[in-house]
Amino acid sequence: MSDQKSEFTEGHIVRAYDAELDRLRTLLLEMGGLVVDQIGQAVDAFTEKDRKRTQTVVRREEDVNRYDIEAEELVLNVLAKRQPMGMDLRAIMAITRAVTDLERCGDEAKKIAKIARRRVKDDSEVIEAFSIAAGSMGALAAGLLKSAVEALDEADEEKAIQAAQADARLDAEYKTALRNIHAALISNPSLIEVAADLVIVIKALERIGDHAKNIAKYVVFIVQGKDVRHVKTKALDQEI
Amino acid sequence: MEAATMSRDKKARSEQSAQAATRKTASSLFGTDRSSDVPDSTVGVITHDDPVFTCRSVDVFYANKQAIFGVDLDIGRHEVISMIGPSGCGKSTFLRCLNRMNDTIAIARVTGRIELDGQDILDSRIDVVPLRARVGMVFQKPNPFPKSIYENVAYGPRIHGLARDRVELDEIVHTSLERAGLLKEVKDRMDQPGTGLSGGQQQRLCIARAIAVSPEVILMDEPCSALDPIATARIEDLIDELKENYTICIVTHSMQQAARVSQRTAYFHLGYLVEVDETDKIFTNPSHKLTEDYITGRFG
Repeated sequence: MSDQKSEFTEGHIVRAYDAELDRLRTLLLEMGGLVVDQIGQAVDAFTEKDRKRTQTVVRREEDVNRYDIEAEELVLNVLAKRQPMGMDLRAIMAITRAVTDLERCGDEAKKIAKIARRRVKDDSEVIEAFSIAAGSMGALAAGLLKSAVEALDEADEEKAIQAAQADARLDAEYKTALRNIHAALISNPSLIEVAADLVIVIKALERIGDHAKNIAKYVVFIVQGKDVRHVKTKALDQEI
Repeated sequence: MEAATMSRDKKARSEQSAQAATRKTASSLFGTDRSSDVPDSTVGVITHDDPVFTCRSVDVFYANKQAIFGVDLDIGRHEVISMIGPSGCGKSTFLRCLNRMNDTIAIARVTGRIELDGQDILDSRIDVVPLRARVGMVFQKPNPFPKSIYENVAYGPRIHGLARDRVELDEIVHTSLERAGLLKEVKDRMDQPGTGLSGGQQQRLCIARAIAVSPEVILMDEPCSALDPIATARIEDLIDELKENYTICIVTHSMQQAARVSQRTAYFHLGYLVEVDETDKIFTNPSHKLTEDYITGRFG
């Protein structure tokens, strides 16, 4: 991720203000990095039936929550002490929202890890068959989230919009996987329990894509002050 | 001659900032690339649908030194407009043009057009006494006359002949004190000296004194700088009420105050009006880099 100094965290007459904003920005990057890794680990734990990794994900979920709490404290303090305005205010709003989205992504990763733990000893063919789909969706979701956080850190609108629009691919894979689960269930209704878990896994990954899309949209807010949260992703190009 | 020097300076600044802008692009993260030089013309919306004041190409000189450069600005009826900017940016100088207070400074010269309801107030034939009744002023330091509370407010209406008799004068004094939110606190001691009131009360007395002559516009030059936060909040609350009946132009060093009380905000920099727009926009998403730097505390 970017190690460039940000205009956003620099140049205030009060240098302590710079330091506070810099911590907020670093926190976003650290938390983003952790959550992206959590998603990867959770999906790997599921596809490789790795109990140890499920434990890692569940344990580190607490770290994700700690970042969430620290961000909240930082933002409260900055608002109370500095009364941010202009781009500082927009960036702080965007980071606050992004942290909430990241925290939710962390929850989704934990959800996947718990299912992985439950299915560690399940060697049914269905799980094998869905490992590829889940692996592909997992890589896509983690990649999207990584791009979105980087775009936010760099205030790169083009990168953000690419990330937001790439979510369509994840949605398509989700629909295909869901159809396949339905088909498997129709031919073998006794799979219902496994199938329900599989649906939760792919739904979690699909949700992570949506959170990544949200984060990407905050970039437009930072750069232009335009609220595009409810603008159709396809139409985002016209906003910049 | 002087103007030529200024334009050379401006050009030099422009070149410097062009280099700065290039450097910024290399590590551009937050914010779009925007010039950090004063713009050729004011950014934002200088016009108003229902203007009280229409100012065009206003220049102010103190002897040979130019303090204000070609300011174009409309001030709307019953709006609160704040003028912000670092010390020496010309915001107070501009405010003082609006009721010809700069006339009191021998070396000051104002050119351009300033129309109040269509009438050019820079015209030398204009009598400034009635002008200053129409465009009242409140200063940084409360300056009540060394007279009673009653006389402080009654003085203006009396010299302008606004009251036919004592009953009418009483009425004006009471209404003005009430509108200034001071009546309750002083109604039992109207004959006591105005200078005996607290700072915040004195400032509200000065506002009552300005209101008493039925002005259209009230100019406020840092009206809360000498007041504590409670007295400041009272004045801000009062400004909110007064805008129903008056136009208010306020110069303030507190950006939070500008954000709280005004509908439009004008940002001055080195004598130029850099940007003027809706207050909400100025403080959340200003268009010019200089405005952004100032409101985010990066200036200097």
